[in-house]
Amino acid sequence: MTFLELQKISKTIGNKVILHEIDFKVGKGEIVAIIGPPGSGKTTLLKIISGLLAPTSGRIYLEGKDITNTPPHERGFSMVFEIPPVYPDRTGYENIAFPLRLKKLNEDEIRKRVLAVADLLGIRHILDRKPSTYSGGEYQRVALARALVTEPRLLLLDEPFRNLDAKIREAMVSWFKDLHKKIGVTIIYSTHDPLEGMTMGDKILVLLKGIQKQFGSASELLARPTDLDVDEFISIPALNILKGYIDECSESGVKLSFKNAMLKIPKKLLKCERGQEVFVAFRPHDVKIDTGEGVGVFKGRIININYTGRNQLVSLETDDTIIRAVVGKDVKLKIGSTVSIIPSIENLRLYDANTKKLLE
Amino acid sequence: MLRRILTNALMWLVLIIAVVWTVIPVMWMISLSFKTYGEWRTPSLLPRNPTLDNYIMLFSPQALGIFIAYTAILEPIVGPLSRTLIISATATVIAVMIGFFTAYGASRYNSPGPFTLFFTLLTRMLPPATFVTPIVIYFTTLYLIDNIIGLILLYAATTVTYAIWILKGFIDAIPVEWEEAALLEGASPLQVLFKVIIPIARPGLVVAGLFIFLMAWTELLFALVLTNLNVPLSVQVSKYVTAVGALWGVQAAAALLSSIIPLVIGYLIQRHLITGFTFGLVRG
Amino acid sequence: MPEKPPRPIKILSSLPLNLLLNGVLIIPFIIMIYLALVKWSPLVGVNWWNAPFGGVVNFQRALSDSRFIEALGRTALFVAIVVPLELLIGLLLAYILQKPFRGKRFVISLLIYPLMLPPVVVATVFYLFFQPYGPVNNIFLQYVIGPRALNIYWFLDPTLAFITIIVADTWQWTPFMFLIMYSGLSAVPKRLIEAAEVLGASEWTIFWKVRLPLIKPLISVAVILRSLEAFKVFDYVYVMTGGGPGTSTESISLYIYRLAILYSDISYAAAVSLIVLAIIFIVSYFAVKILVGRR
Repeated sequence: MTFLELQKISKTIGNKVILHEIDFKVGKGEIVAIIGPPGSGKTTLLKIISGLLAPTSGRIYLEGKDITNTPPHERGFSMVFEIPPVYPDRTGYENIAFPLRLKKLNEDEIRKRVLAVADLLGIRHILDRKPSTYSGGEYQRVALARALVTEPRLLLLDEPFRNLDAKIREAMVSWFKDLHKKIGVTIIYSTHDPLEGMTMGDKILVLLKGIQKQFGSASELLARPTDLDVDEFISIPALNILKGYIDECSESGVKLSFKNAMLKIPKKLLKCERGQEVFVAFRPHDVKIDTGEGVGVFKGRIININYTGRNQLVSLETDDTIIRAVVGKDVKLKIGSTVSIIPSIENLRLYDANTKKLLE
Repeated sequence: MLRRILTNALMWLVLIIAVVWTVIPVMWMISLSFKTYGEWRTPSLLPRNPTLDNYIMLFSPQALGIFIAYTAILEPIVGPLSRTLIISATATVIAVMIGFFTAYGASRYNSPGPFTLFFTLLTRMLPPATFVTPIVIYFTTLYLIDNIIGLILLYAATTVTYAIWILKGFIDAIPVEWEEAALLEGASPLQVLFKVIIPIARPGLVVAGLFIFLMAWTELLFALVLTNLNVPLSVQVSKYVTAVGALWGVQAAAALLSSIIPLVIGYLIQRHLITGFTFGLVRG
Repeated sequence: MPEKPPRPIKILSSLPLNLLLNGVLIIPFIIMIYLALVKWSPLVGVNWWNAPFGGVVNFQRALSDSRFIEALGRTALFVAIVVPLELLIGLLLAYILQKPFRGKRFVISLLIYPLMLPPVVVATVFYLFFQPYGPVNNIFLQYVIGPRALNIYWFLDPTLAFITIIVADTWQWTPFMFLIMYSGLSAVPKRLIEAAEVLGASEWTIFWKVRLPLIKPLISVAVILRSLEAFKVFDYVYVMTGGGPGTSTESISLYIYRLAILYSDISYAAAVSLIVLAIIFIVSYFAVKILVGRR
C-alpha cells in the first residue's frame, strides 16, 4: 500500500523554478533518501512535504487522502531541520517535551513519553543538562528525540549528519538504521553525500537542479543510471568519462572509437547508429591496471597515487583525459611509469553525447 | 633594551595616572559626603570626624536644624528617588516591549522596513534641546506636565530605538528553523513569539532593559522641563547645586546616592553582555 | 518561514511603535514647525493654536542674533576640542592595555565606571572639585603656582569656566572612546602583528602601518557618535557654570532651553531649534560621506 505519494510537485519562486514535477511513491516503513548537491532543492522539497511551504502545482497524498492543503501541524509529520531545534535556554527534557506541551498533554503522559524516547536513543543521562554542554552527536539525538516523541507518521530529516565528523557520521548512519529497524517509522531524509544516501535509503531520489532525475533502489541507480549527470553524481571516486563515437554496430556488440583507441563491447543496444557520438562511463573500481606490455585499451602515465588504507587511487594521464583507477594496495606502481588501462567491459555504460541519456 | 624598559615604564606611568585621575574625583566626593559642615571648605582628603549628617539631611532636610534657609526649599530625597524608580521602571517595560515586537517583525518579515528603522535612529541623533519647545507646549495642553506619565511616555519614545537595535541583533541570531519547527509542531505564530523567541532572547531583553533603565534614570533636560514640584532624582541633585549652592557636603551625598543604582546597572550590563550572543551555537 | 507576516504579528510589530513615536515625537515636531512660523509666546494671551502668522520673522531674527551664533560657535568649538582629545587619550590607553597583565580586567572596569555615572553627578563632582577650596586649587598650590592658586575662581573666568566643562566631559567620555578603541585593537589578528615583528618592524611602525589602518572605520564611527553626543552638551553647563560667567559658556542646548523655559520665547525657540536641526543634518551628511564613504 502506498503510504505517501507525490504527484508532479513543482515550486516556483519569482522567476526561478526550484522544483520541477517531482513524482514518487513511498511505502510504509521505508526510508527514502533524497540525494543531490547543495542548492538542488532538497530542503524545499522536504518543506513542501511537511506543509511549511505550499507547492506551486502538484498534489500530495497520504494513504490515499489528498493532504496538499492540510496545514503542517495536522499532517502528523515531524521534521528535523539542518539547524536542529534544540533550544539553548532549556534542558534536554524540556526541549523534547516541547511539542507535547503544545498538544496540552498532562505531565505524567509527557514524562512517560519523553523518557521512553530518551531510552530508545540512549540520551537519558543528559536530559537534565542544557544543550551548551552537549556533544555534536548528543545534540543531534535530542533533536531526533523531539521529532519522535510525537509518534509521527512520517519523519523528515534535512541533512541530519552534515555537521558531524566523518568518523562519527559512519557510526551514526549504522546506528540510525538499527533504530529504524526498531521503530519502523517511514522516513524521508536528504543528504548531499550520495554514498551515505545509498547506504541509508531503501529507495533513492536523485535531485539535480530541482529536477527528479531518477527514483529507485541503490543497485538500480548504480547499474542503470538514467543519465550521465546521475552517474557522475553517485560515483565516488569520480567517474571516468571518455568521449568517443560508435564505429560499428553488430549482433555481437558495439565497436567504439576513441582518439587513440578502440573498444569492442558485447552490449546490445536497442538503437545503434553508426557515427553516434557517445560518452563512455566507467567507475574507478571497474578498472584494471597492467604494468606489463599487455594489450590494454588505453595507455596512460601514472601521475598520482592516493593511498586510502585498503586501496590505492591511481590517477593516469592519457592523451586527452585523466583516468582514475582503484587497485589493491599490494599492486606495485611507480609514478611516471606508463601502464595499460583495462576497463571492465561489463560495467561500461554508454550515454548519448547530446541528450546524456543512457543507451541500452 | 634600555629603550624597551623606558617605554614600558612610560606606559605604566600613563596607566597609573589614568587610574588615579579616574578614581580621585569620586573618592574626594565620597569623603566630602562624610565631612561635617565645618570641614566642607577644607581641602583635606579624609574627614577628621566622619559623620552621617549630610545623608540625614538628604532624607529629612530639617532634622538637624541647621541651614534652615536652604533646607526649607528642599524635598526629602525619598520623593524624587521613588519617582525616578517608577518612571524608569515603567518606561523600561514599555520601551522593551514595543522594541521587542518591532524588532521581531523587522528581523523576520522586514516589517517595519529599513526606512522606519533608520528613522528611529534619528530620535537619538538629534539634540533633545531642539525638541523641548514643542514638547512643553504639547504636554501642557495634554495635562502631562509635572506628573510621572509625561516623563514615562517621553523616555519610552526616545529610548525605544535602543531596544529595537539591540533586540534585532539578538533575534537575527536565532535560527529561523527553530521557529519553523515549532510551527510544524502546532504552535501558532503568537505562541512561537512567546514560547520560543522570548525565552531564548532573554539575555537580550535584559541587556536592553538595563540600558534603557540607565538612560531614563540619568536624564536631566526633559526632567527639568516637564516637572515643577514633582521632580525626579536627576533634577533634585541639580537643585542641590544650583538652587542651594552652599551645602557642599549634602550635594556630595546626594550625587553619590543617585549613583548607586547606575553603577550597579553598569556592572550588570557588563556581565550580561558577555553571556549574551552565543546561544551555545558554537557548533554552527 | 511564511513570506508575509501573519496578522497578529504584523499588528504587534508596527502599531505600538507607530503610536508611540507619532504620538510623542512626530506630532510635536509638526507643532514645532507651526510654532516657528507664527508669533507666539505664553505671555501673548491667546491659545497657541490661534497664534498670529509670522512667516520667516523668527528665522530672520535668529540670523542676526549674536547670542545664538556665539552659542553655536562655542558648542562647535567644544566638540572640536573634546572629541579629538578623548580620541587620543582613549587610543593611547587602549594601546597600552593591549598587553596582558594581572588584574587587567579589574583595571578596565575601573577605567570604565565614569561612563555609568549620571551626567548630573559628574557635573556635581567637578563643580565641587573646582571650588576655591577644592582639590584642584590645592594641588596647584602644592606643585605648580604657589599660594596664589587658592584665589583662582574657576567659574568666574570665561576661559577657565570653559576649561572646567571640557574637563568634566573628558573625564566622563574618554572611557567611551577607550572602549571602542580597545575592542578594535583587540580584534586585530595576532598573526599580522607577529608577521610584522618577524620582518623587524618597530612597535611604532606596527602601530601606524598595521593597527591603525585596520581600526580606521571604527574610529570614524566613534568620532561621529561622540561628536553628535558632545554637541548636545547640557548637563555639565547647567549644573557647573549655568552658562556663565554671563553667557560665556552657554552651549546651544542651554540657550534653547532658556529661550523656551526661562524667557518663554516659544516661537523664536522653535525657529532656533529648527535651524540647529537643519545644521546637524547637513553636517552629519557630509561628515558621514567624508569619514565613512571612503571605501
